[in-house]
Amino acid sequence: MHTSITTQRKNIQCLWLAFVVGFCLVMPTACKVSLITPYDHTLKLQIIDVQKRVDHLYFSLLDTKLAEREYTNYASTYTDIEVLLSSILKQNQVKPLNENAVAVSKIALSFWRKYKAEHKAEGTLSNGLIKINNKYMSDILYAMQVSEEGKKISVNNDAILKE
Amino acid sequence: MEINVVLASMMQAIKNNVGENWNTVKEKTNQMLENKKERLALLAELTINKELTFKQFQSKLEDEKQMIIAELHVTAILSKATAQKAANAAIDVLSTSVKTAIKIL
Repeated sequence: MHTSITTQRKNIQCLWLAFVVGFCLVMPTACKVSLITPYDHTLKLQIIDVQKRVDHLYFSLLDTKLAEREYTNYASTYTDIEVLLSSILKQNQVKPLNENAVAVSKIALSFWRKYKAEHKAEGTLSNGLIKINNKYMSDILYAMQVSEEGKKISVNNDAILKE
Repeated sequence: MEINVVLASMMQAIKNNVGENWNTVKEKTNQMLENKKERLALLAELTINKELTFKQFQSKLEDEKQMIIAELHVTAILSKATAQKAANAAIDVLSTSVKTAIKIL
């Protein structure tokens, strides 16, 4: 009687193990851990594109006389960059397991909207503000790049952050 | 504020989080913290030279708080990516062992 119960238990354990092993073999992706969304190369290129546009705007402003730095001359450029940053944020928002990248994108967009509003309110922009605004935008965009590239760690050790 | 001490502490925190993957993220992390150093130096220089008003300086300190939050989010991404890789590597080992055992049987 005792032997029979022990055998039954062993059989159940074997069946359970066979089920788990079979499941993992048939559906290997179901047995993978996902804590973060995969790396997106297109998104990284978009971030680099925004960086170039921001640099272009601020370098152009520095080359322009103070009296000629009216907001209206640059309004469309500000809007173009705002649209791109908003698009990057939305692309991040639709991905699962991506709340940290969403947070960084939101900060970048909030910086840009703030700097745009300041220029609009003042009508012009001093050299000091141009330099420091460019630095903050450059650094937040760099953080966005690192957050995208950091996702490579999750899959491939050799390709990580070496570009 | 002793910026080098702050940067060293931040670097150590990131290093502790990413563990054995530290070497792979070191370069980018270093650059991110170097950016912070340059940014704070520029902010100080522009304020001292009166290229920024005190009000503008205060506004930038608010931006600096947001930058720290952003940097912490970047660290979280690096940590999660590292944890995911480690967990899947362990699962792969198990899966390979089981497959080998089945072949032997």
